[in-house]
Amino acid sequence: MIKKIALMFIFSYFLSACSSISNLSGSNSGAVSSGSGDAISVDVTGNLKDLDNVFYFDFDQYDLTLKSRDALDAQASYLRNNSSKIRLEGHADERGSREYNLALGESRAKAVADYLVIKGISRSRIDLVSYGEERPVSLDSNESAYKLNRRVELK
Amino acid sequence: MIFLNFFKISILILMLSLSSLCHSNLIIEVTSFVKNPIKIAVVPFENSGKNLKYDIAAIVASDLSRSGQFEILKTEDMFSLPNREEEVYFRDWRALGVDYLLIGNSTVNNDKLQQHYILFDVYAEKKLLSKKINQNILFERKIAHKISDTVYEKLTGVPGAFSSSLLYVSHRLNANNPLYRLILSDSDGANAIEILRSSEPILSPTWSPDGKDIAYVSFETKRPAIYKQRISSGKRKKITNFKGLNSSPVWSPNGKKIAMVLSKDGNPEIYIMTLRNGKLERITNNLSIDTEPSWLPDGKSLIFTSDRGGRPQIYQVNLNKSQPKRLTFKGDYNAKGSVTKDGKGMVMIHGDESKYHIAWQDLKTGELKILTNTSLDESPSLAPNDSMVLYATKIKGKGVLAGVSLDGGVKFLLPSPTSDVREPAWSP
Repeated sequence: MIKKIALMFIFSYFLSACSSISNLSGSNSGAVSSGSGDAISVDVTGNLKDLDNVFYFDFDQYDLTLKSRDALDAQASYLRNNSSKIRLEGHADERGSREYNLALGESRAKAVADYLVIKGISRSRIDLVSYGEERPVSLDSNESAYKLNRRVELK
Repeated sequence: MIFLNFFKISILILMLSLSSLCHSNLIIEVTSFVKNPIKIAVVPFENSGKNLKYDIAAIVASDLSRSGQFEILKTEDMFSLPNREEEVYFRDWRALGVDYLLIGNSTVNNDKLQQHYILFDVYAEKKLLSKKINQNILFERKIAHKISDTVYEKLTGVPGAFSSSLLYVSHRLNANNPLYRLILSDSDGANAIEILRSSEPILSPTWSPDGKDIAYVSFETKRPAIYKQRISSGKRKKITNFKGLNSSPVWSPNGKKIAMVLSKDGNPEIYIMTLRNGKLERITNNLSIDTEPSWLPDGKSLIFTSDRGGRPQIYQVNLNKSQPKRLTFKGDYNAKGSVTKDGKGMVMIHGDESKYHIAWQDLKTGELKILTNTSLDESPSLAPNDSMVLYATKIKGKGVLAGVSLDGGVKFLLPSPTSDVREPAWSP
């Protein structure tokens, strides 16, 4: 038993080592800079700040609102002029089931990706990931918090 | 640099060892009991030899109390504290109004604990159980839970689930420096040890049917992957790492397969992986969300959550790929179903008018019973004896675990004093 416990400690150390390593690499990579040179990535992040890069959704929905479409049109015309990779992170509010919300976040990110593809952005440039309800912007449990949390972030 | 790393490693090992040992246990508060509980007296056990770390009788009393089916006589109200059969005067216990009496005594020799316990029917003046357990002293709490299981089964006819374990996810509420931990504990929240920690989300912990392995989803590579881990050795394996979702792993009743959700072919679909060879079989094929698979006890069909009808509802599909059949019709939101071992009913999340409760549905009649009155309930997990369901909810902005009996009569809370806790998974 003691041997087992010791193994667990050693194991949990390795895991934590893994996560701290991934932390470091995560903080090094800028929002959209992966693969591109420094000068370009500064340019890209600078420009992105001027465009909407968070798109909000209605409760339990994954179709784009008109407002999101307008914002994505602007994004698409910007993205067509460069070749940087983008990452779309889908999120949900805390209500309902955790795993369903993970799928919902994925469907939201996919809706954004599909729209960008229609607007001429190559799918190979787009990376999708859903965090479901795990990464809320607001920790409150009310409608105004939920509104902020149902979103896709373009990074 | 090497020295620095070595130093960092030593500190980390030390910190982890301490944090694992000191991880705050969940604290149980029983909030609702059955209407006519069984009245029992659990007399503090006598111990000779080396001192014990725990009060075994107190753990048994706390187990029985948590089940909500027992009313425990307070020690200070007892007229005497018998430890042997000849010291029992039934008249005294009858006067105190108890139906049953549990006494015990133990001896410790070279780290071997011999625990003797006797259960009496006070009115019939009859011995119902008289048993001896021999165990290493390291397993004091396990001995206590074993006694609870035996007494519970004797008096209710249902096997106890006190010897089982829990997995849950704990989360530190700090947006800048999040910490997710996967915790393993005894069924009463004690003996909590950390088995995984990450700055990225950990989700969907689940048990193999033999209780030897667990699986979960970890975002430690910045995207979800399903991992399988042996509890005793800590050895683990990444079993899926597809593009898109890798989520909701759940073992088949025979332990040979894992049902899961992948979106590698476009959108979230249910797949079954044969563990022996890693082969995948796709079960659903629909443009909407299909997720949260759960096996029926016979292993021949799955239930799952789908929004194919517009809103999330629970469906059943036979593995011979017949058309999925919708099971839930009441309410806008029914998700995360799991079926009891007798196949008669399922627990699930039931949402109506922005409130999300844990509910039970009779699979034959369709009758629906809402079991909880909190409003952000999720992640229901059935006890191995199907007596209770453990779930996660939010109370005053804090994530807590809670339990409710399948008739809704017994309720308890398992809050953590230090962190948000969620996603309980009750072991087999």
